[in-house]
Amino acid sequence: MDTQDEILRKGHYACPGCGLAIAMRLVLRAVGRKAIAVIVPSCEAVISGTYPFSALEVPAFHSAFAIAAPTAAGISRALKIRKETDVTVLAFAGDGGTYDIGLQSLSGAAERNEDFIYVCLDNEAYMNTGIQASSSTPPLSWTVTTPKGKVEKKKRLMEIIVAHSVPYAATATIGYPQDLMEKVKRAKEFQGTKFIHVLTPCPTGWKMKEELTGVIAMLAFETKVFPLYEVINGEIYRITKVPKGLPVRDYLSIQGRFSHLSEDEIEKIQQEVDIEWERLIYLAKRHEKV
Amino acid sequence: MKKHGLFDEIMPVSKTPTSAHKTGLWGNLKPLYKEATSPCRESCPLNTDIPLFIFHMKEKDLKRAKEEILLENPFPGISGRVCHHPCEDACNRRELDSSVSVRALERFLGDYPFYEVPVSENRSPKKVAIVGSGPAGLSCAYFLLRLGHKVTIFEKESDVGGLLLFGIPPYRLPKNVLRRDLHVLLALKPQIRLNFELTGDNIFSLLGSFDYVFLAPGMGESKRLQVAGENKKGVYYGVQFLKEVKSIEDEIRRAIVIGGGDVAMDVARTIRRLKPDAKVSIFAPEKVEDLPALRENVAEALEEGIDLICGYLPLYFEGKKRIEAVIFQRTEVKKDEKTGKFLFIPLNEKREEAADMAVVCIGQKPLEASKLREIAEEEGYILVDHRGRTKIERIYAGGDIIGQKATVSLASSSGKRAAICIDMDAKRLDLPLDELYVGSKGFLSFKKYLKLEKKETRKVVGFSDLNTLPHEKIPRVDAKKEEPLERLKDFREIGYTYTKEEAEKESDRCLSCGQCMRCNLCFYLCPDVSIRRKADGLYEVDEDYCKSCGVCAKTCPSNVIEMVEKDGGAFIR
Ligand SMILES: Cc1cc2nc3c(=O)[nH]c(=O)nc-3n(C[C@H](O)[C@H](O)[C@H](O)COP(=O)(O)OP(=O)(O)OC[C@H]3O[C@@H](n4cnc5c(N)ncnc54)[C@H](O)[C@@H]3O)c2cc1C
Ligand SMILES: Cc1ncc(C[n+]2csc(CCOP(=O)(O)OP(=O)(O)O)c2C)c(N)n1
Ligand code: SF4
Ligand code: SF4
Ligand code: SF4
Ligand SMILES: [Mg+2]
Repeated sequence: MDTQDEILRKGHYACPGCGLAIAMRLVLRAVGRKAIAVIVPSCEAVISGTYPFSALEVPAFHSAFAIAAPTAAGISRALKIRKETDVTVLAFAGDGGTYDIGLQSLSGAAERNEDFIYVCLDNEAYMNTGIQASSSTPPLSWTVTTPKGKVEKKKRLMEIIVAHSVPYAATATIGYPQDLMEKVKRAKEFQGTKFIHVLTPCPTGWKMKEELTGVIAMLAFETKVFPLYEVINGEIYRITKVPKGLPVRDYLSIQGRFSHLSEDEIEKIQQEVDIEWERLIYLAKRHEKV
Repeated sequence: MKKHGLFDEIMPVSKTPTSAHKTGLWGNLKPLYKEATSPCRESCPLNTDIPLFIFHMKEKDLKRAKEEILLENPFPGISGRVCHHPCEDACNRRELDSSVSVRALERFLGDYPFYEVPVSENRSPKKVAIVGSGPAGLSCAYFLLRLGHKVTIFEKESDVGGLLLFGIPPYRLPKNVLRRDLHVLLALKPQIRLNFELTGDNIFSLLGSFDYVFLAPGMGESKRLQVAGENKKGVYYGVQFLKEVKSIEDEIRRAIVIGGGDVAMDVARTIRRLKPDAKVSIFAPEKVEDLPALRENVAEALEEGIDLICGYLPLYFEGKKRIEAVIFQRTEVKKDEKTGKFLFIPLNEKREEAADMAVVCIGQKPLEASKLREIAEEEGYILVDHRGRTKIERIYAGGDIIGQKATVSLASSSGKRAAICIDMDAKRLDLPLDELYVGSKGFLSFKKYLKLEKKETRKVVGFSDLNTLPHEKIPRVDAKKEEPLERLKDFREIGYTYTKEEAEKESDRCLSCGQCMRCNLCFYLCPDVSIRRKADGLYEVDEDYCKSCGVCAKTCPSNVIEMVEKDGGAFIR
């Protein structure tokens, strides 16, 4: 049963302990074999395979960095013309490819409500080119371009997506594989642009032990750093799992990218995480009353 | 390379599966699935594999769950009601919220109607005489019969059960539960000789007609206080009171029970039932937190309207023919750190309590009449070594008589030990005992003796070994109990067995320490698709692609996976 559901092949070139590979694997399992994937430059491209190798047992189209969404839109429209309506089109892109360079083209496709599932594999920096900061990199985090810690905040990407009133948007992380796969399956039920934001820990870029990938993903959730929720039609927020609210220190202290933080800085991060959580609660409650 | 229609004309198409790359060469470690010992099991005197039977319960396979329990525990319905549950005290879940209610789950399975156990083939069975049919004797019989030996049980009373029958009252252990649990043993066909009292003389005649003898006469006699006035009318003794007294005279208004153990609690609770209009008080020398009685027994006694006064020992009884008062002295109890024994230090404060009845429950001693002089120590105890052997060859002993803490599970455990050691002696097996231990508390495992054990039994999984992030706090499910006022009407059992729903809820609380619960986290979180689920629900690793990241091992909530060298030895890295 399992080998049949497995679409990501063995022998790919991800680093040991790569969270992104786990995410691709789980998303593909949930989508199934009737799928076409769009791959853009990033670690996902390395995993998907360099010519003449392929790690995916479904067709994968390698496109340009900035255009995961419009490429998927094109494929999706072509399939509709050919009346192949049972094929799911998946766009994979990194945080650099989504938050930064691909944002404009994603916005256009989302506005037209093109029919595909967009999966942002968020490892919080440009990892494939050597850990440069992106607008997804969390504040105070070390990267090679922010050697003293990033000054800017992490962009609230979900709210930008939600502002397009897409039918389905959700956050997920590899720490909760069932939740992730259920969200992908749910996304398949909607017509139009579906967006899944997956936190994919990266041992190399986060400067942590390889074995910690799963545990750190759980901690990101349990400390409220990365809440799990979904938004229907750009309006109805639903928190899908309630975190324990562990101190952010538990999450930060085992990652080298935060090892330079002072007590005050950890406290500052805690406060910001709490504010963001309150904000999410507010959004979720606001729609409960409607 | 073969062309692939139109595409190949316009762009390169990758067609070689990446599985051509043996990326497993990047690392020299691989996960090893090795289930290990949970602290609850290590502490269970019967070594019951608790997370395993709970796992079967979670899988809704109650028959397998009961089979698993019966492998190590002959009487789950009984221990599920009265065991002192050291398993719960050791439960890892205590560090998360509160311990798993292992005993209630055991009781649930004890009541599940399945009563069969397999018997090993034995070409040269031995004849074993068992003296005493309390939990120690019955347990020894159970395990010997399962090893294919022939067993005769000698019991001086007219029915089997020992203190399970005439000690622990029916409101905690109903007689039909005892009978039901005994189904399993009786189906193995032991010979039973009732109304047979072994004395010092006929012990040797037994040795003539049996290959081995197991002595488990318990401690049938109550200790005396040795204070003035003890012989007056109205003074009774714990075990004898429970066994013999069926009603209390009308004029009794005020009863005092002396002692802090289960006998004291049960005597007081029995008096409450026999005479609900009498005031019953327990005077114990120990502090509340040090009372030797089961916590539940104390709590239920208090619920039933019994007074508990701690820190007193009686000095003497006052009264003409019948007692009218007990004079107490305030006492401090200190534990001697060296010997572990309790020292009673009298303080300068007296207290007089009116009473027309008093029951002394300060401990038991071996029966005077059946003191086995040839073999026993001065006070009647029988000393044994770590194999349960007495100083006379072919004679083993167990249960309360060997001077261990008087509990049902320890008694059963010592019966199991003797059965295994008798079998080893019969087969001339020279196996070091520590090969049969699970954990380090020195309890023998029958499963290990039968070579059925698959887990690592040296490693005990602690709380910090577990990844508890996936677990939430969940309140413990407490089984229902009869209202205190209702209870006093008769001797019916006051506690209920879990309903199916309650049992399911509580079994979900088990953290499954060292026991794979098939949560599949290892499987789903392998970035390299190197873990495969097998048809039997277990997992297999593909060394050729495993990059040794260790994510599976670190994420496992149950600490089942350990990273070990790959078979091929060390590679690059
Ligand atoms: C009131 C009370 C409440 C208790 N509550 C609990 C509890 O809640 N939990 C717990 O774990 N433990 C409890 N205990 C302790 C527990 O019952 C004993 O530790 C346990 O029964 C000891 O088992 P045993 O097999 O050694 O002896 P016993 O149960 O005492 O059985 C010994 C048997 O040997 C027979 N016998 C004695 N001498 C001879 C002879 N010479 N020839 C033939 N037969 C003989 C006796 O008649 C008896 O049947 C309680 C005890 C009492 C008295
Ligand atoms: C237009 C363009 N600019 C730059 C690059 C170089 N490049 C390749 S991968 C990459 C980083 C991608 O980062 P992200 O999208 O976060 O993915 P990750 O590697 O972190 O998974 C960059 C900058 C490119 N391939 N194309
Ligand atoms: S959580 Fe379960 S396996 Fe772990 S110690 Fe408690 S009862 Fe035993
Ligand atoms: S998660 Fe996969 S690659 Fe990593 S150690 Fe386990 S089996 Fe190997
Ligand atoms: S992660 Fe889950 S499935 Fe894997 S070994 Fe541990 S308990 Fe079993
Ligand atoms: Mg990235």
